[in-house]
Amino acid sequence: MIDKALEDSIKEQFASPDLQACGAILLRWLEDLAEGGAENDKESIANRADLVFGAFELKTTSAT
Amino acid sequence: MAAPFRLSLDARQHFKNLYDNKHLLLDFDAFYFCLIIGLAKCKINTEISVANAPEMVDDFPGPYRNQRDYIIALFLSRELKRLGIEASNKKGLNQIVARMLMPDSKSKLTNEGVKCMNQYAAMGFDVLKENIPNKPVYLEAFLQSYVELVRKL
Amino acid sequence: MSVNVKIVKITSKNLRCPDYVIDFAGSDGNPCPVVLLQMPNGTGKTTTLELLRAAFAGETILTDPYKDYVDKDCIEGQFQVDFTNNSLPYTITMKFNSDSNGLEYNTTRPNIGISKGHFVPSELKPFFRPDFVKLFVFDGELAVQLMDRKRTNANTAIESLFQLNEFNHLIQNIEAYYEQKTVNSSSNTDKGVNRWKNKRDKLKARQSKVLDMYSKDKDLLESIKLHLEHLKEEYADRLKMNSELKDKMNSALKQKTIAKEKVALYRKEVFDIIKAPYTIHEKFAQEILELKSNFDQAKLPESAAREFFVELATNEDRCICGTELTSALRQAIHDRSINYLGSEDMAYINTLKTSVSENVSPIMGAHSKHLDEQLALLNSAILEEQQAENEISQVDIEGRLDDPDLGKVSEAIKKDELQMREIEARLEKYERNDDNGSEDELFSISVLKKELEWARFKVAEITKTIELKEKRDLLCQKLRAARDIARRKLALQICEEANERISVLMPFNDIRLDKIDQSLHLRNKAGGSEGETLSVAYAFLSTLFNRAEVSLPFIVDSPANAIDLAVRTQVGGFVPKLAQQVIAFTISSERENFISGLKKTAKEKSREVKFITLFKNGPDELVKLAEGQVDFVKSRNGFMVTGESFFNQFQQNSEAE
Repeated sequence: MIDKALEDSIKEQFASPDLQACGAILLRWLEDLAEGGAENDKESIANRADLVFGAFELKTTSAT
Repeated sequence: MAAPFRLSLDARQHFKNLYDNKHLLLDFDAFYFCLIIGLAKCKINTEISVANAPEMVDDFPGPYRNQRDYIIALFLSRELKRLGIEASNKKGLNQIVARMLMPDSKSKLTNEGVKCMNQYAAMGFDVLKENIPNKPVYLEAFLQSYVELVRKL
Repeated sequence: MSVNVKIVKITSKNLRCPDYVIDFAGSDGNPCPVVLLQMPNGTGKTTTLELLRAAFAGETILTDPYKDYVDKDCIEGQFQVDFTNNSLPYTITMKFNSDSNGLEYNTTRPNIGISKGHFVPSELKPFFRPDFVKLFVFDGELAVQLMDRKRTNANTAIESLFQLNEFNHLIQNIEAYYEQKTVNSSSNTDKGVNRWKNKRDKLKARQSKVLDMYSKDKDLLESIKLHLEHLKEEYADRLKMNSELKDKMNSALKQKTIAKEKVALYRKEVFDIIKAPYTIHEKFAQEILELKSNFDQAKLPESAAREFFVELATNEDRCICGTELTSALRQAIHDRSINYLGSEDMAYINTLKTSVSENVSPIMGAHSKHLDEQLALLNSAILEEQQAENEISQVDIEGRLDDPDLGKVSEAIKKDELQMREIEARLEKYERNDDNGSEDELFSISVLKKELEWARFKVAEITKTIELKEKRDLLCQKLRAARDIARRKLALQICEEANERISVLMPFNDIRLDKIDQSLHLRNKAGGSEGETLSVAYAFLSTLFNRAEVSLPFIVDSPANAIDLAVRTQVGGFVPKLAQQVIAFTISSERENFISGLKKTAKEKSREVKFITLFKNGPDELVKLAEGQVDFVKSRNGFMVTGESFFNQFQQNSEAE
């Protein structure tokens, strides 16, 4: 579990519809890291990062 | 690793028509023409570009294999002449032979020997261009003037 | 909850504090929520706290040489902490040796057992660190440090407790992923991709143009061939009209074919001959023979080969002349051996000599004569071909005189043939497999295809890289923003909540926290009294520990000593709420008001309070009183009594006698 302030701030940053899926994945990852349960081998990290990068498309208006 | 024979791009381009109409087939053909002229002239071209010219084979290919010993014999003889080593100079003879020959290698030459041959070929092209400036179109026409040139030098 | 630490027991033996085994279990066997440990000054309170911190955070936190922790009458001493994390038991033992000034850690972990060394479970690492451990094994001086912006404890506390550093961890993973994915890419800029896009577009345009030209040229060639065929037929037909001319033409054409074949034959013959250099020039033949002769005269190859000299230099004591071989002589022989032929050189020279004697004739001009003969045959064949050409032209001229239109047909044929040759040359350019031209000048279709494929690949690769980079930048920027916002929010919320607690602690004092960044900032005030500072620190820590998803014990030294009597009740009431397990070291003089406040809150919250008194020695009456208690333990150098009644009666403020 992470403090609500952290959860809220991630949700806020990734609030736009095109980033929500990505935000959800990052939130879960952050929680796992905080609980000490995240995988730390290169392959697993790459798999997770793959999901993050693949979860959104760049649009010209998506910055900030 | 055996050193390869080398010939400049310009030299190859000079014989382009003969390659295009398939009168010449091997890269070594152009090299041989130039080499013989260089040996006839008994001079070498020592510019750095010679060492960096495009590589060819590291051996006497195809029909030249059978003539290898004579080409090498002529090369040794010319090199002795170029360096002014008299026949009676046994030591000098020994040294040149030891420096240029390596029976273990495909070409029977040391790297220095190959390099020296390349330098003869490079000089040979310079002389050829001076005397027969036009790019040859048909081999049969070229052969006559070529033999004349070699005998002239 | 990943972190839920409770201290079960601490044990001290042969150290400079009295020997004790302090069990923090309450009546239900679980660690008691509130423990008051009364230890007079000089009983080793400071040492115990220091050792507790060192047990959690490692030996770097200890201030004195290790041997100083050992009782001066002993050589070895030991301090042990038994605790649980999420009910899993751990034990950390520190063994001191005064002779060697050594300190050895041992750690007992669930499922692993005992290991040498100091091992902390990973989820506890952020907290069992020298700077953080002082927050929960609280040092009163820390309260002042929290106000000092040169010490970053306040922010670090928030960072660690709320695990904001995991944002950094996440950012690192994303950066590493980007690096890994783009390690082979040559560019990640718009300039790079534009360059390749330009190249791709140029190649595409060129390919299109070349394919078009190729197709057109092929069609044109076909049509010219067809046209030429018709023209030749027409020519032949016209010639047929004149049978004499027709015969002449056929004969001339036949001659030409024969002559061409002869030319090819002699050309090959001559070319083959001159590959043997001694045939080109009489001089060459003579020289080659001369070389062989020189080899013979010089007796090359010599019977003494290079190997002989190398062997001599390496293995013999004396030269063949009898001279003793010194190392200098050996080296000289070795160096000079290179001037002599090896046995393989000798073998080859023999081969060479044999070849020469077998194939190079000593007869003057024998070889060049043969070459000259072949050259003459070649020239004659060339002439024949030329003559046949002339004959054909002659017939053509005669034919034109006879039939003027024949000339036109003849001209048309020549024109077509020329054009055909030109087209064929172009087609050859399109069809070959090498081409060094720039994008605008390439002709080879296969090379164009390869180059275009490569340019397309590079564009895709760089585009992908750029895309990855932009995604990475976006993700990292947002994660950093999230982290900073979370930190600010937490700091703000903690500040507000802490202020509420302060107002309860000190209702008649307007001291408040203004903000929290590196340190705690007081509103409108640079600093406060010791009591005010302590209260603010407690309020901050209490807020911190109550909010976080981690549960650590709070161990505090003299929590109310410096505080006014009036405030003590409040502080006492505060203490049970500071953490799920509170262990307070007290002295007798701070009991007033503090204990009452504490008990009230403990009762309200249904939290059991355990009272322990520890002392070294004292007046006989005190010892007798102690011995009369139910829960009394005597150690080598101290007394421990558990119970509220004795706790309240105990009076010993001065240094132990």
